[in-house]
Parts: sequence; structure tokens; C-alpha cells
Amino acid sequence: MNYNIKRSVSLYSYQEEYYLGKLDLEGCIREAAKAGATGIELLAEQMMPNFPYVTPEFKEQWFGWMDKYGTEPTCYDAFLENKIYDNRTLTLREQVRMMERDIKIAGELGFKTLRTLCSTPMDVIKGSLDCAAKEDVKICIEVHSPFSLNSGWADGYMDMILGTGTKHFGFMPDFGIFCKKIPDVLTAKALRQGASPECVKIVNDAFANRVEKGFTKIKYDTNLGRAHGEYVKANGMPELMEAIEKAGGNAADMNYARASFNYTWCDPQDIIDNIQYIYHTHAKCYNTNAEYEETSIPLKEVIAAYKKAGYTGYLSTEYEGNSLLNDAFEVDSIEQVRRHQEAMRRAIED
Amino acid sequence: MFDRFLIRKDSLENVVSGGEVTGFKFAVRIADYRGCFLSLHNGYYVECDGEQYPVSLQKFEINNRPPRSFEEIRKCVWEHWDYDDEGFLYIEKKGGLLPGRHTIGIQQSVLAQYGYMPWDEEWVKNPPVPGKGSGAGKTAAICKFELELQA
Repeated sequence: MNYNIKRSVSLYSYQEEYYLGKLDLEGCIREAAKAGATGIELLAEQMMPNFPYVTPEFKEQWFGWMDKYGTEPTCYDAFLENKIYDNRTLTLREQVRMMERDIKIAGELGFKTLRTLCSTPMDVIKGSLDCAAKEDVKICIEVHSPFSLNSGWADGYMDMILGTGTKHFGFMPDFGIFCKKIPDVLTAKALRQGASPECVKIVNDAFANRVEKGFTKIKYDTNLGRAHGEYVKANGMPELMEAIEKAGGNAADMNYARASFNYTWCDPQDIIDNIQYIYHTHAKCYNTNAEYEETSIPLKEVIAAYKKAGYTGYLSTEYEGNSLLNDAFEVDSIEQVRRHQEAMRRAIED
Repeated sequence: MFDRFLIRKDSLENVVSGGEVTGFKFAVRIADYRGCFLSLHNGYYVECDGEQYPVSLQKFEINNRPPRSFEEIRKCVWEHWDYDDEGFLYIEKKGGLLPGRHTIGIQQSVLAQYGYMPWDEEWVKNPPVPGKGSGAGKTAAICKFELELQA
């Protein structure tokens, strides 16, 4: 069967090479295209000169690159800075204005979707829907671990979608919610930093147990700290920390135990259940080996759900393994993205 | 996250003003993966050879403007520190540094937003003191650099 799932690369994936000046923006687009992607995702605040202003020169260059490399813009990644004033947080109206600013930049540069962080308050999204409709940009709330679809958190947004009937707001899952194992590069880093094999085993076993039993999902709460606190408690963090302490764990062991709660395993059926409202996807990856397997995320199993659901959007590689390596190793994001694109191609086409 | 690259290693120099050495400076990058609005940047934890230099002794040079105090920087609400750009951190120290190698410990504080956290309102009233970890974003530890003073 011919599946119409398209592949994109978030240029965030090349952050190491970009930071070190080994790749510029055009270089990132070129590498993404060489890896087989036809879509380009951008963090404007990372790579667009003169952010938040789009100059005519940049716009021309941007579309010129899209033509030259046979790519199209997919997703614009936005942030919502709430603390730019030193005497108060932004008002709702100011937050909506900031969101509208990003929607307009996204529209001007040809992006069809805009990523908003999982912490974006409902009222800010509601207030931005008219602008999104006018620019024909779909605001997508990122379903980033430890958040998940089919959860109390997602239900709140789903009610809003159904209540307003909007076609300009939906979800974009991040594959960090499909970790069946803790990324091996995180484990290796913990060991480098002095974690003990005994404690690492305790943490890994506890993670496997959560995968086996199923994670308790996170609730909707504009106070993310509170929601997160309840989430980790419900998933056994206090018990795990106690076990590490009993085993004589050091700071590196404790850090590894805490970090393990950043990864989640959700049933890929969640994708099928919500497909109507999924407009983009962050195909997060940490380490893709030479056999084209993402070592913590079972790509074939996850992509099978997208195929079954009839998804026609983009899967956008978002490589994030660099920060788990760069304390000790040279990072090769270009190769990691290439492998991940190939792994996705196989999973889509096989 | 980019801990190793926070300071450009060949950038440590004494600062001369009005014929006198008034301090030292070095070049810094953003330790996160994106740029920031300048008002979100509330200074550094800096120690040099064991001596600490609080934010009140620091000035920041960016966007082709003369060095500004962080009191001034916090008002630069719509001015952006682009991700690619290097800034210079100036430290007031009468007489500056002696020739040779120096050990600098540094932590950058940028109050970038990732979520709505219980401490958001608290940070408005009491911004975090650089070096305590809060606001350090992707670089949780104080980073150490061994730098040679440039002539």
C-alpha cells in the first residue's frame, strides 16, 4: 500500500554543528534535503537573523533555498516569553499578541503549522485562533513527554477543539512519548559521570516496570510544576529515589533516576484515536545505530500506528542526542539525522 | 548543554579606561539552543581565581552598544540577543588581572520560558541570583575555564 506520510527535519537537530559554526542555515537545509526530507522545520529564534523581524532579503533567501533544495516549510517552533518585563508577567492580551506575532512570521515564511509548548494556556490559544485562521497556520500543541494524548491534560484541549469547531488548532506528538527504553546515550552519560551499574540497573528495571504496567498520565493544570509533581509521584519517583538512597547512590545516580521520568511510553493506539487532530509530528530521536534502529523508540511499531490511522502529515526528525554526548564525544548530527530519515523511510515504505 | 563553549578561550583581556586598568572582559555565547530577548538575561555567576564578582560589578556588551549594566539590560524588553552573536562580559576590578593563566567559574542566567511554573511570579518579585542554578537553563552547573590573559 502506498502511504502518504511525508518526512521533514527540524533544523534543531543540527544545533551542535550550527552552534560551532560548522553549518549555517543554508547548510542545515542542504543536509536535511540530502537525508531525503522534503520538509523543513525551523526554530526562528535559533536560526533566523533579526528575529522577530522578517526582512525582505531573508524572505527571498528562504524561499530561494526551498526551491533550490526541493523542500517546503513544515512547522515553525514558537515560545511564549512571559517574563520579559521585570515587574510583572505578561497579561493575557500581551501573550496573545506574542502568539500572533509568531503566527504571522510562520505564515509569511510559508509554514503550515506552528508548535506551541505544552504549557500554553487555553485562553492564549483561543485568543489566537482568528489570526491562525487568517494566516492559515494550524497551532499545534506539542505532546511532549511526560504529557500524553488520551490524558486529563489532552482532554482539556480536545474539549476546546470540539467546542469551538476550530480547524486551526490540534496536536503534535513528540516521539519522546514512545520511549520503550531509557535512551542508551543517557545511560552511558550517567555512567561517565559516576553513576554505579547497580543503581543504573535499579532505574532501568523501574522504567521497564512502568512500561509494562502503563504510565499514570498527567493532568491539565496551568501550574506545570504542580501537575508534574503529581505525575512523578504517581509513577513511583519517591519509591525509586528511596531505593537509590538505600543502595548508597551518589549524585550521578540520583540525577539518572530523576532524568528517567522525562521519558514516557504511550500506547501508539493514542495516535489512531486522535489522528483527526494531529497535524504535525516531532520524530524525536536520541541515538540511531548503524542498523537503522532508534535504540529507545520502536519506530516501526509507532509508525505502523500512523499508517493504520492514514496520517498524511509530516514526521519531522528532531535529533536531541547531542547534549547526551558532547561532554565527551564529537557529535555527528548529520549522520544521526541521515540514519533516522532512512529508518523512517523504511518503516513507512515496508 | 554547550558548557564547553560558553567562553571563547582566547578572549580574556584587561579593560583600560582613561589610561587605567579598570577590570577584565571575555567573550560569551548563549548557553541555550536559541537567542533571547535581552531583558530575560539577568547576569552571571562569575568567580576568578577564587574571588566572586557579583552582578553589580558586571556589564554586558552586545548589539554594537557600549557595555551596559544589568540594571539597564533588564529594561531592554524588545531588544534581542541573536543566537549567533557573541557578547562581552565586563568585570570591574581595579588594576585588572595579572599576566598568565586564570581560573574562571561561570554560570549564565537567562529567564527563558518553557512552562508556567510555580516560581514564575516569585521570579518577578525576586529574580534568581546567578550561580544558584535557577535560570541557568540548559547548563545546570558552574562551568570552569582555564584562560590565558591576552596581551
